[in-house]
Amino acid sequence: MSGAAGEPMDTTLTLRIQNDLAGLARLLERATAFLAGHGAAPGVAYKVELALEELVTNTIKYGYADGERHEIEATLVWDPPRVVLRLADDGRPFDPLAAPPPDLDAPLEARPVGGLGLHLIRRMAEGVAYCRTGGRNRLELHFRLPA
Amino acid sequence: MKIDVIERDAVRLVRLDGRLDAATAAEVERRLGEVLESGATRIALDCAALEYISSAGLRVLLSATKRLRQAQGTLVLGGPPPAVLEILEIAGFTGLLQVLGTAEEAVAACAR
Repeated sequence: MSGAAGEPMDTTLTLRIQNDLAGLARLLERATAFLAGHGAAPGVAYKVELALEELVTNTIKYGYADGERHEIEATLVWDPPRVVLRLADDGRPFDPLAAPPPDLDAPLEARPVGGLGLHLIRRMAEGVAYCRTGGRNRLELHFRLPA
Repeated sequence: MKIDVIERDAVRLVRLDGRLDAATAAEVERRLGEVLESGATRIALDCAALEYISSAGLRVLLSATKRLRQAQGTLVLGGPPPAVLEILEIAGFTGLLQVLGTAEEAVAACAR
């Protein structure tokens, strides 16, 4: 898998990290390199990286109450005209689509500091689907590549 | 993330170079906190070299804006690239704080 050497890159990248923030930076680096290797436009790469960061951060911070180690799996699929991001974790059931939208018209003093990440993702992804199967949260997001 | 603080016409110009994400938000928050604690009330953020911002970064900007508002101060952003500007718009931040085309315009707006 080396785009730089002129060989075609794999169209699927699967990454697994432990539920700690140290793994997140490495995950984002790998995802960024994968998207750049496929020549993704900067705007699309930004959206996918943002979704990955927001969702994995949420799972690490709020997904587990037992203090144990868990594995979070992220899969990127280069499938023109779209990029697909799949996430799976065994944290507490959480459907990001069901989270209430933040009140963006609230004055500064009343503006909540949470909930923004999910709002950004819902606005930037073309499609988002959630299901809970086999004790795991499974999320699939589609991002459209510019023609 | 590289953070530089420069004094310009009684305005503190804070230059953010890199990614403002979950990994760097704490460092930016600490540096902005130092600027605020020094008594500065006019802060311009040079965002021209800000490649990326996520909700972790938005939270830092929001809390700095709240603190400054309490001190009758101003925070103005200048020069965010299109992708960063789009995030600020989707998050509703362009209605909360002033976002201008360049850092120089942000400094000038703060100095008024």
